[in-house]
Amino acid sequence: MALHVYGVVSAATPVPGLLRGRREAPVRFVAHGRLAAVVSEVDANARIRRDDLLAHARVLESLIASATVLPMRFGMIVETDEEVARNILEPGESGLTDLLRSFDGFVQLTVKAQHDQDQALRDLLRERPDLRVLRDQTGKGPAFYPAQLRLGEAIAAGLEALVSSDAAMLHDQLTGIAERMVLGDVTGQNQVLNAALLVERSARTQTDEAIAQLGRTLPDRLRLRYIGPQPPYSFVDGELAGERVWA
Amino acid sequence: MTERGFAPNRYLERPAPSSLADVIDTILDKGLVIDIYVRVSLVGIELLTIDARIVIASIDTYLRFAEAVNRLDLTQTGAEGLPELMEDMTRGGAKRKTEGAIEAVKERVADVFSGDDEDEDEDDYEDDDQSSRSSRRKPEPVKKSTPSRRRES
Repeated sequence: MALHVYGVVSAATPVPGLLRGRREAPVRFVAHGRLAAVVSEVDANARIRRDDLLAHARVLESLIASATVLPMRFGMIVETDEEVARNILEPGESGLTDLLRSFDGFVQLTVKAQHDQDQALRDLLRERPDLRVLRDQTGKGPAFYPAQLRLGEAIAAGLEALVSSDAAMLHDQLTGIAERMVLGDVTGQNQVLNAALLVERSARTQTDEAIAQLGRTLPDRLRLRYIGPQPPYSFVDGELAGERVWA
Repeated sequence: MTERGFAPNRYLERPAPSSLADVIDTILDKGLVIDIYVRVSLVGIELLTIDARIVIASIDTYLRFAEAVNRLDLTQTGAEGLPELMEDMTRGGAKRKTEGAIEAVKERVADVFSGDDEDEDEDDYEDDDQSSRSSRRKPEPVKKSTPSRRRES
């Protein structure tokens, strides 16, 4: 058995009681110096199932409820406790400790916005007489294929423009709610915004209220999701992506 | 792929835990990385990420959009003005009509995560067994850029 590494915490963090990780294996800490790695035993060759992904997130989200955690990207597999201490915690001691301190008292909250496609199409048609004209030029049958294509392409472009303007508007509205904000990639159809907010625990209530208020004032076509609290995934990423932490 | 997770905005008072879709664009993409220890085959998961990014710019999608728009007013024959649109909206008649455009992606997602058991696409992984499991490799997630809007017409 190998070890799945979820993240890194301060060695002073209380060991979680009954926290289960991938495949229900109990989560424990491997401590070394001022740091501890959060691990559970795992078959290194096991295929990844959705439960594994969710377990990784759940463990980190459980810990962040009461402690500061530096999240590892999914997929860090280390053979032994000793290797964790020698190759991750010891060389990372000073860098990771600083990083932990910098996030002390903060959590990440994520706001995602997407379009209700029906509503967005209606708004688009209402605001764009040219699209209504294109639509009226179409009909059933192969003869209308080019017209259908023209219409569909114009609609796709129109939706894309609507996504951009709504994303800019949301960005403005969210600015100021958080200490820091990072915009993630927007992938997939109808997705408008993916914003990670770094928020002080003590400011959580105000943040919740601000997001709820924002949700009430948006046009119907925009749907928000509010996710968290999470470890600062999007903020450690910006600083350390792809680098050896202590390099 | 997160379509069902977006409830009306009145339920925003508290943040909710991550769903599977949220997890995919956080823990696979973000967090601390120590390259030499990333040793997990993410083949199926990369597929999912790619699928989510190629939806828009295809003839198929254009046709689905066109159809969706045309069906917004089945009862109308001529030019449609604002009142009719409003009426159609209040009837909520188009709820099902535009789902086609996103259906393909949902299906792919369902395929990739087709259950919690060791399932039938095991073979795909076996082919890649040596290279993906025994070597320590970096997963190289799909580079993030806006989906290309190729004009295929």
